[in-house]
Amino acid sequence: MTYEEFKREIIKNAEAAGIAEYDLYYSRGLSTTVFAFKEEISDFSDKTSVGLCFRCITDGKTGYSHTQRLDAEEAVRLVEDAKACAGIIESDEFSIIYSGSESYNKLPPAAEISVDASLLIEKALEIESKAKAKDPRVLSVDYAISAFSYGETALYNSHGLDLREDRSACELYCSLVVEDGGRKYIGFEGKSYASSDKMDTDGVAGKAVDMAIGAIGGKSVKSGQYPVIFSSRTAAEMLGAFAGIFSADAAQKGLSLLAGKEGEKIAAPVVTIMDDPFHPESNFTKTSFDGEGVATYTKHVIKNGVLKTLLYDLKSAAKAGKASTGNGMKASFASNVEVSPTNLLISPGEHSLEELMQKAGTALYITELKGLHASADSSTGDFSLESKGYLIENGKISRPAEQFTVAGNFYRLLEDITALGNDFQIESAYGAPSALISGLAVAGE
Amino acid sequence: MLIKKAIAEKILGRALSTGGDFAEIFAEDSLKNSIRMIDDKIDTAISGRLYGAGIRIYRGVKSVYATTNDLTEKGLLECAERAAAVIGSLKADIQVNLTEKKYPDVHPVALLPGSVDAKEKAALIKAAYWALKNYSPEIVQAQTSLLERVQNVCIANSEGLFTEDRRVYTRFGNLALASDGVENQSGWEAPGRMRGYEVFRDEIDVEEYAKTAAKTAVTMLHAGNCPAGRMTVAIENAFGGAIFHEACGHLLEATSVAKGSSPFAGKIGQKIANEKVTAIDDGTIPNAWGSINIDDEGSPARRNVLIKDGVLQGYLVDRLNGRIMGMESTGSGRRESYQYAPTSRMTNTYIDKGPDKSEDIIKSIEYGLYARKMGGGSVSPATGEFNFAVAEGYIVRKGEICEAVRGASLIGKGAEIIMNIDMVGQNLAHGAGMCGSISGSVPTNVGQPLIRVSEITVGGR
Repeated sequence: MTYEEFKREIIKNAEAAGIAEYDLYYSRGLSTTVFAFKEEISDFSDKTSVGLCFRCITDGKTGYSHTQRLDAEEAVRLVEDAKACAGIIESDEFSIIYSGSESYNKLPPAAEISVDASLLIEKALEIESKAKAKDPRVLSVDYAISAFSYGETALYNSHGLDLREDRSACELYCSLVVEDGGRKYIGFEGKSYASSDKMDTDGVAGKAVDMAIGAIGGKSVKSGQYPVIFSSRTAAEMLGAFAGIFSADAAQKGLSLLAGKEGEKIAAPVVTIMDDPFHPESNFTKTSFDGEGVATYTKHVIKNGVLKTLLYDLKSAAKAGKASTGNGMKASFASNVEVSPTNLLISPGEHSLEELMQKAGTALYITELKGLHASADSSTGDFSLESKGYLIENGKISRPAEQFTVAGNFYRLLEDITALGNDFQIESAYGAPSALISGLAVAGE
Repeated sequence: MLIKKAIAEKILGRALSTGGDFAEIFAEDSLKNSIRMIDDKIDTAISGRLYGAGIRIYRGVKSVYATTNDLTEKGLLECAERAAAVIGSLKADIQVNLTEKKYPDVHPVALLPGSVDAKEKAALIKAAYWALKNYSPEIVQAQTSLLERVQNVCIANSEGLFTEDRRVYTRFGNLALASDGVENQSGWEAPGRMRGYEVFRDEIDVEEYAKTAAKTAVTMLHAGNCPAGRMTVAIENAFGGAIFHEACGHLLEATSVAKGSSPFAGKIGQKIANEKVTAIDDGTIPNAWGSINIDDEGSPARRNVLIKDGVLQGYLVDRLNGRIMGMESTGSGRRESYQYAPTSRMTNTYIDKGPDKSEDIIKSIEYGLYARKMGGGSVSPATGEFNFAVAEGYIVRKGEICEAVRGASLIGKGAEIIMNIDMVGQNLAHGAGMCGSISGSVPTNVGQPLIRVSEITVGGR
């Protein structure tokens, strides 16, 4: 059964069940992924996935049910189960099925709907051979991966709103091991591209090798307070780990400390953060409508240190007497609607990385963070993270540093950003330039 | 069976039609339910179904994987043809004969999710919620949730295996947030079993877990920052076993051993840990969160001794990496769902009981950290560099547990830390977690008695 056929079944079943308010979210994804190892293709995967989620409001309460099975019997179960779920709910305020935005900033169609397997195979093999050719100390390229992804999302609801968009992206990833003096060092790099002709194996292999070679001879550092420079990649990862603090729903529930802070200064004056669903360097994360059918748009979250707005879905906006900011997102078809950014981006500053190092004097330059899923808590702002990078002395890189942690609190960190680099880069849905922080606790020797 | 035997034979035959030497079908029909209470109300209820199949073909050590949501004969044939086309050009279908094999279900379930009334589930969630919220006026927010999953799978392969399995998972989440208006601190407890809803009638008291989560949040709200540097650390039992899981367990998975990059590659029979350390991965523990009847390649669960008295005994091996390493499967091929090809993963992994008494371990520490509760972590398999979070910690001075400290993490290199585990206690217990890797997120238990690590870097501030 196709999506359109299944949709007709749902409309019929919802009407028969007396459900007046509902939406049906649909997603379809294709992905082809190629792994090269020791000059051969070791793994090849070709995945297709279809998912549907039916959300209904009965007696003011919202229930969800999702499936991957498209037949008439399942269209009956989906409606019955969502209704049963709604029956368990106690929260009956501000449940809304959206009537539609005035206009939508439509995305162009997906750049590609498929990519030749032979091209992906060629690129994966190239990553491995180029990495090995670049430096004889490269011991093994554990992951040389090329991938193509296509995704289609659609939303239909009982107001007749009928939206659809699709997108595609290619990706390259390289993770390798360098051996020097009996020790092993890892380097990795991943990048997303708007289309297959832009895949740059030299760039990905080269950066992964540079990262591992740069780490050679690294050792820990003395514990203490240091100024810290996060590279653009690690700054974006930090922003991603703590993006939850900008959710109005989290603030309303006390899970973010930004409740009531709209209009107030919460960060250093150099800090400007945008939520931009159409950023030209974002690929797979571009979106013109959110999981509730609200049109997305570009806005300031923080402007020159002042919190301009939190991010809202329909429910948190109704609670606050505001309009949704188009941030009622679904992480997948199987997820409920939750407030989340589209692309959350720290705007670049004026300084080169070298200038940031000169400003810092003695500092740590962090190029790799680990444990963000476990040792960074967005409800408290606390973090304590395994880090790698370089020790900066006299404003210059003096040596590689490893086996240390940086710890602090993200709310405080926003106020302690003293300068931003001009080297903005975007990592999936989060982007940032390199960022100089006046001081963080470092644990090492 | 999700797929009829005759159809499975045809699909496998087609999968091998282009030169593959092994083919497998993994079909799945899973039901998931979740109910969440937050902000004094039950606000989210989701029911759902995952439905699809993955077809895998090998030629030597090359593997192709393709998925579909269409479990009809036509849909599966199309999927098999897509995968087979990557192996080579079309020749004739291969004759495959399947024999149905039944494995005993050693993880009995009395109450499936659908057999319990929604009102009873709601009452359970509310009871835990209010136990948590009423623990202290400093608890400003609470979240309790019930997660239920029934995974029905059918596995067939060209060696003739045709079998099915049902896995029932039940987990209860408690999240506490304490605040003084300026700072927040959190606490988390999430017991889980490979059992049905009866677990809440005879085994798990959700209100006790809720109070424990609340206690952690309140304790941490009043705690100072953990100091930074290298020190002696005592790590408490149950979820404390996260240290072995990250620092050592992942490095013993064939996924990293087969590539030759694990620091433990080629070290079977060698001493890699302190002689007090015996470590086991046991998928057969009845109804434990990380248990299985059969793995996701149809191999029966096993109890695998990884390290005995400090000496490396073996690895966790899946079928494909076993081909590369010349080893047989250890019943460790696991995956989150049909959307992932399986690879070697842990089940219930733990450091076994040792000779030391808990009080002696604490008494032995002049100055250090007592990590009562651990959070999650991660590891880089090629170097063994790992990290994990301390959810609730205390300073130890002169053999006494003193004030609580917050915000700590522990980092180190697996091969070094496993040598530094120099005292092992007796109060072995297990804790439920989700483990993420290239084949997705799978339920795993970690476990240990109280242990002492003579020296490790504590990431405080």
